[in-house]
Amino acid sequence: MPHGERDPVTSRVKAFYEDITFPNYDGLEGFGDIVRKGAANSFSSALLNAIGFNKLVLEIGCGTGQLSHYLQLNNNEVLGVDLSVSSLSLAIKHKLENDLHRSSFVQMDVFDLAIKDASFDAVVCNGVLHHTPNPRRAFTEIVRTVKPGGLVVVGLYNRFARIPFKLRSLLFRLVRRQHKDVVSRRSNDPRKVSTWIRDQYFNPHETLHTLDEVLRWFREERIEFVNCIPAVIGTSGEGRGDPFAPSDTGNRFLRLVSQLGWIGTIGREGGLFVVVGRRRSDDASAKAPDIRGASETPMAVARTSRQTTTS
Amino acid sequence: MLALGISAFYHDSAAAIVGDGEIIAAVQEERFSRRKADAGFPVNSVNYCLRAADVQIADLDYVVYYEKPLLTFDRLLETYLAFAPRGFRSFFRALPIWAKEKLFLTQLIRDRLKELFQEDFPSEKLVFSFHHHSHAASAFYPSPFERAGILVLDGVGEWATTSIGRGAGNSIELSKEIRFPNSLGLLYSAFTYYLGFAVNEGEYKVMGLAPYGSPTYVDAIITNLIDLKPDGSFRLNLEYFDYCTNLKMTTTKFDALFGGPPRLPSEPLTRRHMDIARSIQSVLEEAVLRLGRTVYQETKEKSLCLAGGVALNCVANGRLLREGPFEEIWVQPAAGDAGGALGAALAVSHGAGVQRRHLAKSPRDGMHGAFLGPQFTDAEICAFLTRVGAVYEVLDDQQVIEKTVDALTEQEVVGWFQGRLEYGPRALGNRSILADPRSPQMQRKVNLSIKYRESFRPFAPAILAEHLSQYFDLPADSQYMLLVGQIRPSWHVSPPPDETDLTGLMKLGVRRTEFPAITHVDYSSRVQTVHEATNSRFHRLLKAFHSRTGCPMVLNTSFNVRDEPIVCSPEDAYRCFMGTEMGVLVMGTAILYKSNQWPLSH
Repeated sequence: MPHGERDPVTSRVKAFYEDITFPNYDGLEGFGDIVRKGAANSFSSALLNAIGFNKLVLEIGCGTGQLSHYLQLNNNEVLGVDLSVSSLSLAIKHKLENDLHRSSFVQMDVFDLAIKDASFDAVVCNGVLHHTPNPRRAFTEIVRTVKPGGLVVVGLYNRFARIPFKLRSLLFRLVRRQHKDVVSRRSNDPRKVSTWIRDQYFNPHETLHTLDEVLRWFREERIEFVNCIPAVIGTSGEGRGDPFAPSDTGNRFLRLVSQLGWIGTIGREGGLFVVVGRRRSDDASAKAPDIRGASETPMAVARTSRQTTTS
Repeated sequence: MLALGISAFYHDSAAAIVGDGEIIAAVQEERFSRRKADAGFPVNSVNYCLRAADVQIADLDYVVYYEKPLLTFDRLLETYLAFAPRGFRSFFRALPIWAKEKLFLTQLIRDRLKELFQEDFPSEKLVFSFHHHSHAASAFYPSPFERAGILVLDGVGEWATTSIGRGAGNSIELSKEIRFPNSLGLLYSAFTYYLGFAVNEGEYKVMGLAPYGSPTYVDAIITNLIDLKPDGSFRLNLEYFDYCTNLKMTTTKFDALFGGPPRLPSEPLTRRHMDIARSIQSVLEEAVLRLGRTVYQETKEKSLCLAGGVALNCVANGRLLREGPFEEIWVQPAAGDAGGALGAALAVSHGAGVQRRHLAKSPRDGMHGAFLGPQFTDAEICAFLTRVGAVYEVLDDQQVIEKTVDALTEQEVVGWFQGRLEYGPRALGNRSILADPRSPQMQRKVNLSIKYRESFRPFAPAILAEHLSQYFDLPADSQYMLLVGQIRPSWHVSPPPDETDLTGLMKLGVRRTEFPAITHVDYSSRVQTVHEATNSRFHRLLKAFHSRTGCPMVLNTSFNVRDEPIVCSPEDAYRCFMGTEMGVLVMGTAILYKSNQWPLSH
């Protein structure tokens, strides 16, 4: 596809997220609140811990940037990328108001990332690929940016765990009720609730994925499996404190039983599962550019020539 | 004579070891387990204490638990019976835990010790002290006084909530007590709960909020809630409190009196909350002053020792020193229940006739500056830093001081990790975050980008003891940051700031003195004096800062983030440094600059 043109799905999704900025700030959220919430949340605190210190982090589909801001703790530099300029402008507003120095934001299309190969220590893409026209090809694009040995974190809607949602959505259409009357979502900010409902129930495009499918992607892209959140039952990753500690994948049967079990657990929260991997450190196809000590910033790592740079 | 004191199973577990009356080590379990106010059996603390004393479990003459479990159970039961059938739920929710952990405590402690050391600990060597006796011992025995009056104030021990008495030589005698449910600690905690702060942790926030308000509710409190007698004894009106029968603290009648339901933590602080905080603080101060006078009349001693959680109220302590009958006051730095471990060990040692030898030494105070916890050698620190790939530089003794002063004057926030960890809730210059107190932006900067909180409280200064009287109206040293004094008028900005349009929390941003980061809205300051004898490197740092800037104090806040315990090990310190916007970390003689830690590109 020539540059500057987007396929119809991407355009629809972009228009959608220009309209609703997700996950949104509720106005009062200072950086201290983000740090507190991030530390209290077991996923984000374990993610920051797994990334470590002094790392370059890329977040694809950063939305309004809360996670990117949180991950720039530990002296990390974070580049947040999203399609929605209105979301990114909220991220930048927060950055400026709170005097943050190590998170930056750029508008990019995941199929046209202006980022060099093997330039980031970690790439995080949580709840994004299932809104793209070709998640498999998008996955190739994002893992390309990770250094050998770097962390890959991908969150997707699960084919099984999403079933309760699909049923509920269907029910709404049948009874023609207002979603906000039926959805119980604990938040003190009504704007956040409506943002969440729109993101979940009115998204113009979404696809569903199984764990085995993602494991196949990992194999094809030479990504080593680390763990899965929630963990697969009967594997060494189950019941551990740290969801980023290395685990085995379990067999096909255990994976199926686990995913069916998710219907009753993460199914209630939207059915998003996260698979964690590492790019093999002996991956010859990746050429790690030596930027240690050079004056390049992650922003310089990004080729910004034809992109809309918003920060 | 070797005694190991233990406090556990309520909140803030700790262990302390005392050899022939000398305090060898004392530490809170939360510093190891990294769980704030950890209440479990202090496994790590016990291990550390034995290591620090270089002894085995079999060498101990006594293991002392800080209270009498059966008496506490007795209180729970009687309180329930007095209020039955109300409180059934809270009683039975508390009962199984108590039945398991406290009633069978002898067995429980022996089991844990056996797990730890693989040998049976003889039950005749396991003894129990009274809760308030532990507090009194922690206040009197390490104090620099040959004899003194003693005042113990806390929430509740077994039955006593307030005890007064006398210490002389080796003996402590508690002559009077006020019993549960009448308790200044619980009264203050009820207001802490009502104002939306966490009970047992948020009390100092109430104290910090008080200067913003006016004491408009004092009459309401005195007429309805507490019957305060001239001698300081008091009775609470239990129609307003719910801690006897319920798990929350206040009743609807309480809400009606103060104009609304308790504040939720997410709700903003209003004028009314500030006025309530100021009012309860005033009532508490009045009660403490009256109790102080009573101790004086009973004992005629010229010195006073204080302990118990309420003794951490440094505003009340400051007033007692300035306005009370005593020439000198000494407050146990670990005044809360963690300090009970030390008190219990001291009580057994001195009770058995061991002399208080520190009185013959200099300094006369036996606490060693409260620096009683783990320490790490330069070699250990460097080995750790090398292992994690940190970029650091090792300096000589003089360079450490000079480079730290450079950083402070360049307005960097410095993590300062030296020597032994402090015992008690305050960081006193060994696990501290330091900054320039003269900077008008520093209060905000440290709160927002290091502590990650919005705070209405200013920070505390650590000042060279020699210069105290020049800057603060405090008649005595305050080694443990437990006294509040006023900044002398010569340091106020003139003309005074115009605050007519400012309300509430906006007032903190106003520059009132030459040291805005450590000045509260009422020109008060929670002072720590730094002494050559107890912390020579910190003292030298302050001297160097003074000679460079003319300012003999630095901002000193505890080395931790958010609601985490104060850092203990080099790893804790490094993680905290890297996880925040602290610019410089000094550990022993190693120095780390954030800007050198790759790949920061600015």
